[in-house]
Amino acid sequence: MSAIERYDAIVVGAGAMGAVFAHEFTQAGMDVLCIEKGQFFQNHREEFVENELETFRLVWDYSSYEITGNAFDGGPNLGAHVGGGTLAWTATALRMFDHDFRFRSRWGCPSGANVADWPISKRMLQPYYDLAEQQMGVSGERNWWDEHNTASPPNPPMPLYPSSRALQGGFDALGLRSSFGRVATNSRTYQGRSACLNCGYCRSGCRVDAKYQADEVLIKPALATGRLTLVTNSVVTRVETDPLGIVAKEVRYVDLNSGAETRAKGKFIILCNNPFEIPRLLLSSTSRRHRQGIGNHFDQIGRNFYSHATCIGMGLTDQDLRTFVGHSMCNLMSLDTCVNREHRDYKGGFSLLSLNGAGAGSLAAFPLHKLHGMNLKQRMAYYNNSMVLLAFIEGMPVADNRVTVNRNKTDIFDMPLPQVHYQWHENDLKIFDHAVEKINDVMTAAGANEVFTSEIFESHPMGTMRMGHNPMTSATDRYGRVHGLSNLYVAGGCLFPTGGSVNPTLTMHALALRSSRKIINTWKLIKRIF
Amino acid sequence: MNFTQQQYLVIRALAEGIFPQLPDSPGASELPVAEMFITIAQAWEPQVFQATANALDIINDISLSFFGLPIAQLDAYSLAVITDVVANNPDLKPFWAPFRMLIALNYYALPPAYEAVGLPGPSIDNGGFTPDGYPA
Repeated sequence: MSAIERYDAIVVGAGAMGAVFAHEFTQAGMDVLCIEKGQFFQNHREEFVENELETFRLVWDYSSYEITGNAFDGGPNLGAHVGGGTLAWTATALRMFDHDFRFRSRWGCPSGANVADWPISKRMLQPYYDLAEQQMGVSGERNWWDEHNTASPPNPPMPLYPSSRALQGGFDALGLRSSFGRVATNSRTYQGRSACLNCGYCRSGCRVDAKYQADEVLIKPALATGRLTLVTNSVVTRVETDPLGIVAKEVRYVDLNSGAETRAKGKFIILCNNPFEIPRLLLSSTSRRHRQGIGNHFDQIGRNFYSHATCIGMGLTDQDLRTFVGHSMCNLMSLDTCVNREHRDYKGGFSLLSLNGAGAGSLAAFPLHKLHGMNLKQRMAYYNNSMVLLAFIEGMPVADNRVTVNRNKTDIFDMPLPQVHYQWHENDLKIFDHAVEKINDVMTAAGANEVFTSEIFESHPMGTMRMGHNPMTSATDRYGRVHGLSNLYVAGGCLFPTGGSVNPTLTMHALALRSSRKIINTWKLIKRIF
Repeated sequence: MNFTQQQYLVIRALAEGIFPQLPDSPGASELPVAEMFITIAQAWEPQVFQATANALDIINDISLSFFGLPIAQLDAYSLAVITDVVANNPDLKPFWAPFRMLIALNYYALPPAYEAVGLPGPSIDNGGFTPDGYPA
């Protein structure tokens, strides 16, 4: 074992969230160690390939997970390399609604669910949303659903694609409002990065960085300060606390190539790996003071898991819609259905976002899932005559939907393997049925001759490290600090008490900015005193 | 872990059942779709791999009981019948759903398949497309 390394902060995971912390900390003058399991693609133009299958090279592998329940398919949502999910994301960058922060107050708690209001309001997050949009280079414009004090995104909207214009006709015919989407994809050259070339392969990694990718936008500038030590192909296996169990002292990590273990001490430790691996690491790091895992005195670590239940619809028309062109998601959107205004028997709602681009395999796999043989090929021949619409459905956190570990089954580093239990809640299924109906209505009104919809599947894993004021019902405080520990933070969608019905990344980024500022202020205070 | 030759032939035939050859587009058995599926399956946990191998054997047995021939020797019509049977058998759903998804994703990752539906493929090095879908 080598000598102990010492840093102001240790960031575990150089993905979408880790990049925010690494960037903010180094800009503030902190010395940072960032440990990443995956690799660092330093030349996107050469290393990324325009092919639909390439997505899977960039995303997290769940193959060692034990899975129970009917809801978890291990969809390609989470990242696996420096830049994390932003390498494979669609770049949809939406702010949650004000009412999303107080689901329980607005709707109550559906039977069997475990919803809670957020410990912060949207008003508190707005300045960080503004900053996140600036960093990412969001394109869009103020729209129907913005609160009056919402700033315009830094770039004008992306132009509507032919299939989006067709969908717009469907929304109009039904009296549903629609608007240009908000995407972290450049509608014009922004901060030295190219405008979008409409190639359609966002999820394979953007070769020209027109899409916000955290490794390019945040990690590279952090490295340029000389204060960031980025270690790749290494996995953190343990977090150690002080003898009293109230301060996280160090992490242990293993080089995947050499097998060498290193210990590193940090004044602050921020876990940014993902909603499965964060609880896994904490539950694995048992000690005399934390017999059930760090911060798990009240059995809250890993609980309240949920996602956005998702439906993809494909509408076949006789028009040439050139479906292959575009950035992949949210060229056009309608958020009217994010609130259940039709008095249906559910709480919450769903967003409706257009899909474009090179996703022939996904269309064959999802909306056309019931077809094969001639039936399938005949419909796929309409690929470029298709409109594609996706619904993200607000999923319900449930206490027993959770991430745990199997202490009898370990990986090669002696870490217990994760177990995921995820069962759809009745409310999820009711919203899904309504979303399917609405997708059919919109596409039919837009001129589709046939509409096909996918089965329900999960997107955007969230929960497992819920924020809250009460350690008996939440895992962290409102800054993501693990209850009971003074300097151990977590970040990402794992913090969300509820997830609304829009893509979570912009909100995760804004939360990370807010927490990083808090940590920087504390670090400055400590530095001044000592 | 490896599939047997017979299991490989079942994968190839079933992929063709999902994506049969048409005059204007290739069948899955003309492309390395089965090989791509096998590469992915080899990374699975042993019990998942074994369950898949068992399902492939069962499907071949179904073909033998229906037509007296292994699935790899069926004509296009008979293959379509067996593919229907497999797709609609609830006991085979745990096999069929991920199998079909992987075959679909792998098939349309190959230029002859995606070009046949009008997807032009990589364009960045030529400047991409206009928003209306014409070369920039």
